[in-house]
Amino acid sequence: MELTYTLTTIHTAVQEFWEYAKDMRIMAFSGEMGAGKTTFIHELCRFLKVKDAVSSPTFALINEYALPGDKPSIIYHMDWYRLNSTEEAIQAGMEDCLLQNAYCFIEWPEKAPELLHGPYLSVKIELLSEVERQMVITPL
Amino acid sequence: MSIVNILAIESSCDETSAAIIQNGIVLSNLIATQQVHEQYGGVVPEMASRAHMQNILPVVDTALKNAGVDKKDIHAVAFTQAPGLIGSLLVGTCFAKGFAQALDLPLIAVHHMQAHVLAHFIDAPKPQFPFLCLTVSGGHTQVVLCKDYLDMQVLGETVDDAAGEAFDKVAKMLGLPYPGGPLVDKLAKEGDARRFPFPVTDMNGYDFSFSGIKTAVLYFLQAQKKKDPDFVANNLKDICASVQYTIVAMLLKKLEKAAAELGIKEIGIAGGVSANSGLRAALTAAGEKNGWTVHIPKFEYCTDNAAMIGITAHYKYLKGQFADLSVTPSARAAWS
Repeated sequence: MELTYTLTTIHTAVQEFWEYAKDMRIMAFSGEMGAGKTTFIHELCRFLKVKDAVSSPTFALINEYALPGDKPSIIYHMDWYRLNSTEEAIQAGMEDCLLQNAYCFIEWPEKAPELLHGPYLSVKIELLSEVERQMVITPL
Repeated sequence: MSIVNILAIESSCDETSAAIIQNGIVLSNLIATQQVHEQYGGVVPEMASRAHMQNILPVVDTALKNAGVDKKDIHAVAFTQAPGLIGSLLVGTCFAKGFAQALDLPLIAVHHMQAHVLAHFIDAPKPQFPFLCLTVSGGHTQVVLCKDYLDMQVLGETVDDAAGEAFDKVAKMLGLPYPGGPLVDKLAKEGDARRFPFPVTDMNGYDFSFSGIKTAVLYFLQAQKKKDPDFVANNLKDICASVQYTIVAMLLKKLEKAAAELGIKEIGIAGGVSANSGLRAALTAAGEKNGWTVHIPKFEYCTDNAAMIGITAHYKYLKGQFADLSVTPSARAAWS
């Protein structure tokens, strides 16, 4: 699946994304710095009526949000940007989160690719211009 | 008033810290910075929790010794309960529980972000209520309305990157080593802040967004490097000054908006980014313009430290707000 959006149309993109993605648990968001990974996840969490503050987990590594309504009731928003290896990601508790059947939204998944051995959704964000983004979504 | 000694422990991220607070006065405040992280370019949590385990006993022992207080004379144990890296928080939480249980002491659970605000009440002159606090660090950016010691409201916060993270990520794009924020500040001092205009992102209410400037800098650098491969090297100071100017302008804009709309003139900043010279200068200027009384805690109380946990625990002790042994740490940022 492919989506093209700007900040003005991101809300529609988020809806379409979720319609397609909601049965998956693990979603890996790739894209260079400034591509809008955190921004998309922020909008997605708002769409899912998450009340917690949704912000970049680069510093905290794992943010945890409560998801109202249906199970699973937890979203782990992870950022592997500062990890140097799969081993570090495991030691950091990333695998524990991945195995909980909770929603896991992962930024910078390429830092520890071996952790993604189960079914997951690959979400690649490309910059078409300064304001326009293309998202390619592939179940793996 | 009888003497109340509180042992406070902070272990939410890089720092293992312990402090002894006696009736609201800091007797000691020890911080074991995990310098090992610098070579890895950030906080690596497993290393962080392992280092916390190695650090916590010597740090607590030294804090007691420096304060001249025996552990038998401690009246309560406080610890950072949330938010943070769960493995790191667990070390402090378990240590505090064990200490409290062994000596039959009450436990006090402290929210890290509330503690950053209350760091203003360690040294005089202390702010008058109500006051506004801008908390800015590598992981957080918040405007907090503080009505009383334990009565606070987060008015606005970042919807994406923290201000300190924006500094660090721009530094990374410029090829500067970790931690990049202080280096950007240093280079900015000699640069022209008006040379390269970057967009100021305006969010609803009192919220912040720093992802826009990150993208703007990324595109700006890409375009300039096509024309001049040495663009960054040749213009580093001006780029740093311009980026810093823009980030500080975004911070001040919301702070001034909140101060004006709520009619508050007591203003504070907290968090590690409060060391940024551009932010300090802008805050001083805004203070003169608006007739604010500006409060900035000593730097050792701005970065993560146990003294701020201790001062918060002091006010919780006075209110009888204790935790029981079933208390668990939480990674979630919601205020308890």
